[in-house]
Amino acid sequence: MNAHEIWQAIANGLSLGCLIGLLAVGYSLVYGVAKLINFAHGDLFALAGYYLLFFLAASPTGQLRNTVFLFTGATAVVAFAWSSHFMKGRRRLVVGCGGGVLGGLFGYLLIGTSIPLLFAVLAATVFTALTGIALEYLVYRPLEGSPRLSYLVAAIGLSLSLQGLMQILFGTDHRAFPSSVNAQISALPVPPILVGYFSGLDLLIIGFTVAITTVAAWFAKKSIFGICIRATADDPVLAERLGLNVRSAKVQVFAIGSALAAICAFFFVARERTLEPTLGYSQGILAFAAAVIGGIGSFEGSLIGGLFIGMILSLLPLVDTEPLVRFLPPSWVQFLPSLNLSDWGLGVVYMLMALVLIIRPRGLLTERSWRDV
Amino acid sequence: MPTDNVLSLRRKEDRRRAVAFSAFGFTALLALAFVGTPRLFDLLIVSLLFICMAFGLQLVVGYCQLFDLGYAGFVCLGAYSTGVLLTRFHWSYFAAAALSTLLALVAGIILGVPTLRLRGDYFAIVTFGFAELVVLLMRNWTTLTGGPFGLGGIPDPVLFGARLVRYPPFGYYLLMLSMFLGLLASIWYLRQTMLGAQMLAVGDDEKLCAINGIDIVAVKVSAFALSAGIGGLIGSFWAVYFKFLSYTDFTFTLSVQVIAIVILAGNQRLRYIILAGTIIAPASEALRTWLRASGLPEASRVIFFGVILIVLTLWRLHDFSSAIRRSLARPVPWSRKMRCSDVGAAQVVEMNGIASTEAISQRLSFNPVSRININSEVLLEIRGLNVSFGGTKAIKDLDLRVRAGEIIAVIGPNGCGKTSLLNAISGLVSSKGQMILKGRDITDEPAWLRARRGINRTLQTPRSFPGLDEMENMDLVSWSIAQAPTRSIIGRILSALRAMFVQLPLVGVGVPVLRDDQTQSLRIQMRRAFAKPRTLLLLDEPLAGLPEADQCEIIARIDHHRASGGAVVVVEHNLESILCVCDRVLQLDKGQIAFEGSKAEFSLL
Amino acid sequence: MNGIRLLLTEQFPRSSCAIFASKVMVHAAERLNIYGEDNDELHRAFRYIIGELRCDAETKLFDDRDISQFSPVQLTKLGFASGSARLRVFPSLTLDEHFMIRTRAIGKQGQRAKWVDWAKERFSVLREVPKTVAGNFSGGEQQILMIALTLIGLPKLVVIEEPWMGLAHVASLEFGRAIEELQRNGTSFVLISQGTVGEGMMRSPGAGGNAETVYLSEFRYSREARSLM
Repeated sequence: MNAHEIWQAIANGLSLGCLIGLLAVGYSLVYGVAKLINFAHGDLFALAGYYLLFFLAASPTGQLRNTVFLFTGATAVVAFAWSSHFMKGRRRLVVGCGGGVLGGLFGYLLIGTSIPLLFAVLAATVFTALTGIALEYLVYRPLEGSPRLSYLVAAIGLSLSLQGLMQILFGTDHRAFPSSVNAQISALPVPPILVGYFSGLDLLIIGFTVAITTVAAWFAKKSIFGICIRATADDPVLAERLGLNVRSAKVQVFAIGSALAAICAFFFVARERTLEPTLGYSQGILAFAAAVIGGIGSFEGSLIGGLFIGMILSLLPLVDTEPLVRFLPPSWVQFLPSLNLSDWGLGVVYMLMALVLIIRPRGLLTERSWRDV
Repeated sequence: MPTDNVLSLRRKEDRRRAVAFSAFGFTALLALAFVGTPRLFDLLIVSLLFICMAFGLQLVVGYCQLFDLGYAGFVCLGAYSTGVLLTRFHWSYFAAAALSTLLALVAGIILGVPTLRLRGDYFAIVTFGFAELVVLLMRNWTTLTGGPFGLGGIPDPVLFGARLVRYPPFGYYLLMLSMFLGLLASIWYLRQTMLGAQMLAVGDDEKLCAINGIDIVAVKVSAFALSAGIGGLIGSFWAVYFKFLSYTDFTFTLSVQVIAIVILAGNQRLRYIILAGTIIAPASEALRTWLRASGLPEASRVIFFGVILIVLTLWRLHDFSSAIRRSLARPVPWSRKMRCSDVGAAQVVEMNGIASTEAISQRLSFNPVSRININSEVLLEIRGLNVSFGGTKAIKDLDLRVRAGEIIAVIGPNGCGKTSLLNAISGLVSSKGQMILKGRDITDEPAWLRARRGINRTLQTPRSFPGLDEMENMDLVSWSIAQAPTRSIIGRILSALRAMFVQLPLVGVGVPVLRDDQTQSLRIQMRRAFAKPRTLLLLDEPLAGLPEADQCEIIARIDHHRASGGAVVVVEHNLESILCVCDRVLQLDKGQIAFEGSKAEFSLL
Repeated sequence: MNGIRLLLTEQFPRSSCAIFASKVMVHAAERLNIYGEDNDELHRAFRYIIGELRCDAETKLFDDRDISQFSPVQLTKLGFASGSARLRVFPSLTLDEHFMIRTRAIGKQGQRAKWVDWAKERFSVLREVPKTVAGNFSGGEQQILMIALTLIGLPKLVVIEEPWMGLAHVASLEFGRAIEELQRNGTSFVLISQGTVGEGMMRSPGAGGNAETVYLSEFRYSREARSLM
């Protein structure tokens, strides 16, 4: 264990932590407006990865149809929901079908064509946002006003359904971006001091995450939109009575959160070079733990929590447990669990999350709200 | 009394019906053992397995309404401990099963004590984390559990000298069946006991539990520990039946399957769980076979459970059994008719009138002359009470002294702190300032402890536990408040154990209670009030909305309570009626005392 | 001064919100006081008027327009303003943020400064409010803030539940003056509170002229109690 390794681990922890933090910010966004934990956020993140594959022409032929099918469904639901503003009844179905056809057509025309990376990311972001809005409309909106436990059950059900759906539509194989895209990403510039520790992508991730978190925190405090969202979170009934359009606020926040998940998916698949349907579950738990540790609902807290977890996961493999073994009697040694600490990384994260919830449920970073007094 | 006879008859009938049904079911299942094919056995065993797990989870999720997402962790603990004990240490099956159950039970207590006071969704998260941690532990403990390669070669159990054969699994079927019956009988019995009723009460309304002296944390921990133990027991069967354990068997998917059964069943009756289990378990197996045949990944059967959960919540089906109960209840008569004035005209109100002084005096058997003995003991003394919430001070520096045999009327305009005063005395809101009850300092004691010590609060809108019948409500409430007021851990554990063995006299045959039915709830409250002598009654607007006869009755009871050595603090707007029977008047204004004196002094104002 | 602004008619007695058994009318620039005893019923009446509660087969007309299916947000666009002593303010927002939200909701965010000054001019409490979030205000300060938010922007109809709860003498006088001023400008008021006629008379100075009263149930204060107030 030398200094170089430690610095590398720290650098790795920083970028990994920012990745987790970005996903955690998405959790905090939705919690911030609706006081509910969107368990399906991680699965939207995985779904966004598959959308990216489609737009980068990297999906196998059998799955192209499946993706177009998803596009159609998402745009149809969103068109249907949007049309409630100005028409009723059967005409809404027509608008819904029309929207679905448009979305499906767009996807179909893009099959096989390769588009520039930036546009692919943009398109995937848009479609993920649409899917997020569609899910909010289908599952969360009918449950407005239900007890919290109903929300929880529905959120878990949604998460599981999405996982199962992705497994059926896309199979369980691990996928990655095509090599041309990977080459493009590796070509990102890096300042000379940091070569060897960070890649261009790492710097982009860190920069983007920090920027977004700062912007989001500023927005939440200062902008009128942020104030409206905070008011809705405080008391949706009062907000409605004072004339705030709570519905549109929720929809907008879901859209933004889903868009963030899509960008996070791009970063993740580019960095880790792996994508599979249960990614939403595994990364989602980490991000959720990050949000809880830092204080769910607070953007800075989510980022700090993410960095914390990233550091732990990076630095844990460096800890050497061999010296401890020498202190134990030999007959015990055969029954010891695995001493490779990287196996236990997830366990440490869970224990931390449980500890924070038990000792300081509002998170490490949030201050005492007026409610706690 | 004629009613008692009818109810006990109905109860005998109900019991007979339950026994007959179970006997029939058991015989049918037993008969199947002789005609069944091995595949049928497998299906039945797996279904019974899931149903038993659902029984265990029912205690926590169904009765106490705590969302436990980590049930698979306890099953995993039980399975792996049995597996390890049987393969490496060659224990007998019974001993291994017993130890596994105990291990899971202890794990449940250890997990439960710090986490059961968390809010609903936080509790769900922590239990989820626990289950994942257990799975991780099993995965990484390769030396003991085989790690990612799994634990195999678990031998057949030897029961009463006979070794069970795996194929055809006739012996296993009988073992599972006996486990199922044992669990069914135990939980059915538990429902008849005080502990079961307390679990239902805790699930219904925690604030009401605190007022009634139910030790909420002890009840929750008991339920959680029992459910963990059941999980461990089922896990031990899992180990010997499937003969191979892998950590992937006990992931979140398993917890979701069991939760789906409990939620589909709808929280209350065991028979619905059996029904739900017979729907979901075979469906899940069939889905797995179909997926394998179509070449789709097996893991995607989670979509089945996901969709079930969404559909259940969207259609609120998880509430359907309580909806059925509600529809069977008696409709509450519309007790008041109101008519609004036409603009400018005088109002017409057909409401229950105010009890007049004459009517009350008629009802009281003796002259309501003030009978305070100046030297009677001080029941309650409050010094410097300060109550604030949400930034406002509801009560500022209040001092009060209540003697035995006194009746104090608290009056004042809206928002002056009357209800806050009662809440602070009974412990429902946190307050600063000293409170001494019968010479003992109770400032830091929680609400349920104060209730047991003799502070008896009624609520402005009387409530009862809707999950229990009227009889059960009354019995539960009188028993809980009569328990020993001790805060020590041993005392609380003993109290919980005692609750497990005290049977409710009448269960499931009374009239279902509606949550906001005033007359029923008031009867229950009054009965609770007289369960212990020398208590301090805190009544919050007891005469509100009642017919004249009932008002007189309540006033008579208040007077009677004084004679038993207790004291009463009444908050009431209806001054005429209360002035007949009270001794002192306390008038509050903006959280401070505006006037305090005897009834005579008040009348001079 | 003519023309019915709000009209509520008969409910079926068995419906879940049988509140008004006959017509209730509020004319333009008129004040309607609704009193009653049962808090639950008063609250249901309030929620029904502001559009949160829908009853079967009712008629609700606002300036001859059927508003029975309108949500509170839509009603705000029509000129409704509502406030309740049960849900007063947003605890984690400051005073200025409250005004920002309200002026935006009624479409007058450009004139925010003007309306804030208008409110501060009329309610002395708002001038001396501490510089923290509204959750730390005292009950009276929160109440006045709620009232101010309801009154700004010249609404057509103002519905307030328990307007005098927590108000000191000075504040309630200022409130009464504000009501009179707005009534002269054509705003109608519906004030719902628990209590008796006597209390109500005392709390709304200038109770004569353009004020009607409606009871939801009989009052029960005895004579002695009334003389205490």
